[in-house]
Amino acid sequence: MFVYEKKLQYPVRITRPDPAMAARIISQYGGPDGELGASLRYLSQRYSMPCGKLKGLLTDIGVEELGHLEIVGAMIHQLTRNLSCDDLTKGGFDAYFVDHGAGVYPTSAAGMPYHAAGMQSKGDPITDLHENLAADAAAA
Amino acid sequence: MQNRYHSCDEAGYVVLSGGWNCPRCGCANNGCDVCHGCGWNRAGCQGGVVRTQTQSTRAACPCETASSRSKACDDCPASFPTGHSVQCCPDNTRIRRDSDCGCTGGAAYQTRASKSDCGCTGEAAYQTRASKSDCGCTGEAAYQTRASKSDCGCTGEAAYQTRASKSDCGEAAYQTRTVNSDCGCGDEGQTRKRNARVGIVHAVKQELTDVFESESALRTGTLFPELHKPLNGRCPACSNCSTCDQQAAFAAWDLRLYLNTHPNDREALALFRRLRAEADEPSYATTFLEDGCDAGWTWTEGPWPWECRPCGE
Repeated sequence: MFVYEKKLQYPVRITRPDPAMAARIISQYGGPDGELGASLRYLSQRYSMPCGKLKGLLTDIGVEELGHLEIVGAMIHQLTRNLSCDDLTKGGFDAYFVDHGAGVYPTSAAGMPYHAAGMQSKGDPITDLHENLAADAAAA
Repeated sequence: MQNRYHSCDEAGYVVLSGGWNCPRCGCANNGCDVCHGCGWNRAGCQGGVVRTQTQSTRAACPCETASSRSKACDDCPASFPTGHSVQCCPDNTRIRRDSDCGCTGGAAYQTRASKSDCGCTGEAAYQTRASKSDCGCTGEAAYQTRASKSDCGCTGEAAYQTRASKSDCGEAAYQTRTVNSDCGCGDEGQTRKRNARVGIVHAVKQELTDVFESESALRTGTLFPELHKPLNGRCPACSNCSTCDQQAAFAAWDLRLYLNTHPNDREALALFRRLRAEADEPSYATTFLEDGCDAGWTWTEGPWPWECRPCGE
């Protein structure tokens, strides 16, 4: 089961709103190589891992990625506070704003809502671990 | 004997003439080679002072420079063994024989037993080695003793591991192999024929060496310096408004991930207990470790919630 601690793993204190940046960073929230995909990937793959070490490792990494999801969500929230009309049209945030306002919604920067086609869980440990390597390299 | 000043030639050498003493250096007759000094007096030095031997052939004491006449020649022997050339180390305070020193850099002038010592390059230069087949390796592990010239010569991080023959090492991190077609394997220790396994990644098993302080760990994103590999060599701008609690929790969490794959690493377990004590509040990161000296990391053991168990078991 899941336990929640009321603190961010890494502090987020953004003093200057920047909707143009938010329009790009949103991909780290709900894009194909973002934290939501990462956590679902690890939490899904752990069931078919052959040994306790891997089950434990993927569980813990998946949980940590949910913590990262929270960090990115906090960043989006802080980047989109107190927006003026001018802010919206600059940098391409207006398209997101039309559908979601200043809410946080899992989508990619190109406007594709989060989908599991960006991750894979094949039930074979070697394949899954290679997929994880590729995914984290993409995230970097 | 007359006591009068002698004249020097252009090179600073006394013009030899007979029948008088050099009042400055006390050399007599043919013994004065240098004007006003104890330097090249071939009578040799005793305690930095020229002797006043009146021999026709004397060994030179090269220990003094013209500007340091009172400098003591520490190792300047009264006479030099026949057949040895004598040179000064550049600081001109010591004499050495051929087999001494001759090394460059900071460790210059260390005494070595024979010419096969030293001769290595870089920071570890001048370490004593048993024979010429030692050292000769490049990079950080230079100067490790090797059994023969076929050792070392491997590339990458595991360079300079001792290997039995030249067919050892190669792409797959220095695993011993019998023929050149072996290695390139992804799995540790496996021998293969030709390119039987392609596309298998080889990852080196992580060992616990150093860890960052918790504050640095949270800032760089990892507890382990060897995993700190910033993209394009650049670190993102770092914020330093995290709390001690966040730092300790992050360090403990990263160590959990290590303990999941190294559950019996006693050093890691001890470090985990220290990090847990560092955190002010209990947190998910620091739970799941029993107290007691022998308690190991049991998080990865036992059945997981999704595994089938008949009711009542």
